[in-house]
Amino acid sequence: MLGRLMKYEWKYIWKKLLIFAGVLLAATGIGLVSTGLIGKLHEQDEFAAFAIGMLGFMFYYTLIMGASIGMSVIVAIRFYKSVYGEEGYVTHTLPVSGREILWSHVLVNGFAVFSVGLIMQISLSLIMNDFFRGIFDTATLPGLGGVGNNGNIYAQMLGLSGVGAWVVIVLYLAIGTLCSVMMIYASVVLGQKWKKHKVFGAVVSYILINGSMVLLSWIILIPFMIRTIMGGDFFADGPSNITGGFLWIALAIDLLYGVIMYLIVDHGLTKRLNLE
Amino acid sequence: MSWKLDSDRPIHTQLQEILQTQIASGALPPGSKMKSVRELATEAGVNPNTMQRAFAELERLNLIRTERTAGRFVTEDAARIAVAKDEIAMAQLELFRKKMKQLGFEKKEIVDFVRSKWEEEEDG
Amino acid sequence: MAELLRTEHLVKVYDNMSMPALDDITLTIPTGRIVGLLGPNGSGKTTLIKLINGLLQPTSGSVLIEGNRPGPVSKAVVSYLPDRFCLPGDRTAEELMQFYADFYADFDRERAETMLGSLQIERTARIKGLSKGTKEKLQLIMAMSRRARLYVLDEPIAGVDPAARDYILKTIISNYQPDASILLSTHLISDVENILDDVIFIRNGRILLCSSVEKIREEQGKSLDAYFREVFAC
Repeated sequence: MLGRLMKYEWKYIWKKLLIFAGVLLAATGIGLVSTGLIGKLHEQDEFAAFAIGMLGFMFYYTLIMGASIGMSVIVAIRFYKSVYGEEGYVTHTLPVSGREILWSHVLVNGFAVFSVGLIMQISLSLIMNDFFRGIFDTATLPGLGGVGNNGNIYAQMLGLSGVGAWVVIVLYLAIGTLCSVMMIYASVVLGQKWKKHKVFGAVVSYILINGSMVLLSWIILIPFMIRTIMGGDFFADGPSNITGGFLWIALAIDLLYGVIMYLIVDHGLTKRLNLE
Repeated sequence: MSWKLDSDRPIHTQLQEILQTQIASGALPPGSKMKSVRELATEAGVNPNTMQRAFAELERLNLIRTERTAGRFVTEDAARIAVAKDEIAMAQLELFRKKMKQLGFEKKEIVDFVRSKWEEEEDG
Repeated sequence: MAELLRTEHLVKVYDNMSMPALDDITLTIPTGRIVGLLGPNGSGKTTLIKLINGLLQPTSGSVLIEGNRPGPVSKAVVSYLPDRFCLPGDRTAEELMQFYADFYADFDRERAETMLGSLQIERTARIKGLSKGTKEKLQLIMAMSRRARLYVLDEPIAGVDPAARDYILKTIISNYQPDASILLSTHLISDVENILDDVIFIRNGRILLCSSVEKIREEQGKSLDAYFREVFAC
């Protein structure tokens, strides 16, 4: 039955995913044009073109962020409607378990969030590469096509190299998506506890959960950061030293939260379901 | 066929009466196949179990018989049907007699009343 | 007659209420019966129905359908008609039938198509474009097109015109199977009393009486409607 649930979830989301992909594509185009303008003209002090370039870049950034947040909102609303809305009467009388309902949402809608995230990463990587090439001397930094240590500047920033960089980025994105989707669903489930203000409750829960995650991250990262700065020369070794370690810690926190949130949602959909 | 049913009397009795009248009058001819319980129940707007109960009673009274795979049939026993007709007519007569007595008619008056009104109807 | 539905000391207390919505409900429904669940508004009918369908969790006690707690196994044999319209608006009737066929092994597509035809509902019609009465009939058709063991109909004829009521009641009767049962809740008693085998009177979350309807007619010499008014007189 999980497959069938997934089929119908996909029917709901694929068009929206396509639209978002299109928007990101268009945004990337705008972004590349903007960075091109900034890069070519910043040395020549052509202020007007530079300004347009910067505006374009800000527009690009807004679209990117909007797409990411937008997809998350869509996923949250879809879950809410399907599980707790009027459609919930149909969903919960299907011969499926609460767990199957949960996973159909996570796998399909999570995939949509992941896809948007992946396109975002590729887009950012292209833009950043272009941006840095424009500002710094192009001779010292080969372009995007290069695989290897000096390849993608973005990968370099994360302290990773070549193809391996992309594998890690994809892994990070996958786990991050899983975690963020689970957090959204858990917030919706917890929001149901507020008798009168379920949506408000969900938003508050989301803020609290996110807040606790940021707090936890800081508590773990501050001593780590201090140690790293004390131990090595930040600028000599390059950014990879800092960002590399952070990556794995962030991954671990994501996994932890993902599991906790899963337990909350699972419990909410199986033992504590009360549709009114 | 109209199924006029009174909710304050047991329905199965009324269904039985209606079917009995139809058999007695020949509206359901002797030996004819009856519609299924479900069909009649849908027609009458009643629960199939209630219709089934009426059927069971008719069977007990030998007015219908069940042939296992073929279905249910009205009896071909003309004598039995005649008896049923007679019984229903008697019941109506009793009701009539009671009502007329309630109105204060004596036996001879009842007969005269019926004869005159009946003939009046035939002439007019 | 096998046992289809059984509840034992079923209790449901909503979170911030002091009085239970359902208080110690013990009842059995065998196969082959059309059972009416009758009671005033707020008596607990819908709560009981939601518990049977697994939309609510009991506070204590149990509800079993063919020996199973409400879950994927019971839901495959229970067909539920809610008291509100819940079908997704952006689908067409055709897509809805495909949806049912995908999830319910007991869905009888032919029966659904016949009923849609007799109500002149276009297969390509989008659900949200249908009139209110048609929508409700559509929901009923989908529920009655399943060859389920237990049909649970919550107020199937309330808010529907008399002709539609007749159609709905005729559909219920003609779908009767001896190995299935129908539980229907209503407060329009005189309309449905002729199709009921048994009746459960419920008030304030407690069962007042369980009886066959004919028995009430025989013993009380009244219609079910009249008897109900007597029992539930305010």
